[in-house]
Amino acid sequence: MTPGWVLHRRPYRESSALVEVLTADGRQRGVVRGQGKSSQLVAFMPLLIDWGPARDLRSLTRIEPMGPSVSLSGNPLLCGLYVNELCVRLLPQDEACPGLMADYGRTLGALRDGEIEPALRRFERALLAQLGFDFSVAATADGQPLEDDLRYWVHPESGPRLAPQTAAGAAFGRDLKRVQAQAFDDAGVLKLAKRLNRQRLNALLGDKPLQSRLLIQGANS
Amino acid sequence: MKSFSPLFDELQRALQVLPGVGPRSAQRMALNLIERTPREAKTLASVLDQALNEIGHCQRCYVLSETDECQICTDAKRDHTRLMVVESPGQLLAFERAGLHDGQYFVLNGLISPLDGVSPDEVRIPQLLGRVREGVDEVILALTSSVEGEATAHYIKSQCPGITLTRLARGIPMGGDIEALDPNTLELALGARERWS
Repeated sequence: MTPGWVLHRRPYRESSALVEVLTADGRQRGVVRGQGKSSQLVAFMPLLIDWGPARDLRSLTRIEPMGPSVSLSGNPLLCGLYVNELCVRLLPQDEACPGLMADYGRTLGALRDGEIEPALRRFERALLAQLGFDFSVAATADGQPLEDDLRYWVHPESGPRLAPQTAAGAAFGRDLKRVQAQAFDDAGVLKLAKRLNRQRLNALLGDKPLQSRLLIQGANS
Repeated sequence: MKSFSPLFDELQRALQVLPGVGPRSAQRMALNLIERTPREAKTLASVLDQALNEIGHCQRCYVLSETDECQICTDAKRDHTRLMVVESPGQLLAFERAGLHDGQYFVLNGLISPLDGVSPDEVRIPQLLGRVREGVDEVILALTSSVEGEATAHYIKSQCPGITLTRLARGIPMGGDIEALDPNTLELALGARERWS
């Protein structure tokens, strides 16, 4: 059986459910038939899956929960939904992503323990890397090493380039290096990582906003 | 298959809009309506037409109603300070059948679900907040125990500072066989255990 995480479940026909799961083989989708079996599947649940024969819509013929779903409530729950929405929106279906399952599990654990912002930034980075956007901010677009005390603009595709030292919105080299190292012990660095990740994610997400992001903003306003 | 009546085919197709009704049941229903109970079928058609024209939503609690305010909202004997929030008219009916709640209701239009693109506005949260602002002592959240129910409850909480919010207990249903329960329900039930002596 294949291990996976439940990302989302929506009702399908009378007593079935359409389920999105994250496995080492990527984001996968299938039908779980039967009220009893489908209703126990909830987001953030680790499980083992047996897939039926490949058709347009595959069945999850056998599922075995590997334990309760990671219990999230309040703001961490909304952040968990943000992580799931990112996966569902951005991961192409059935494209292998071997390492991401472990990142996902670690992220849920951190959200449950209240370590929200650094966990989200790490997951966004892992997801971007999975999608092939693992560009470095350790050096400028033309290959020069970053200087701690100089300021840089960061373009979502081409990377950092030297900015006039009085430029508003330009980041210090030392902060970019800490973002690169994911050293999130400083609120300013965390904020910079959020801005950089968001730039790149927004470029991939296009015009349709993330509903979970709007929900988090609404709940915290 | 050759059709003997295009109208009969259309009736069969139309009946399949009902939950749980596939082509075979639809055919049985259509035959029954036309061949065996034509008079009752006429009544059904006229009641359905009338219901569709005359039933709307109560402007206060959004349950189905033929008047601007439903019988529950206009009942002076009910406690206007306790508001129970449910996610569908069916759930309101379940509480009314059990006769357990003598306060008022607010019927949401489902639950917030970002992954399905369902936002707070679409499930009538702004209208709920308006109702809460009219003055209530307690808001009882009677929502499905699910990720979406939890997200909806949290969002309502974030928008209702200073209001007493309560929610239904979660855990083992009456007559529920512990052996057959899923790990999530078991975790909730164990977490909410109470001192017995």
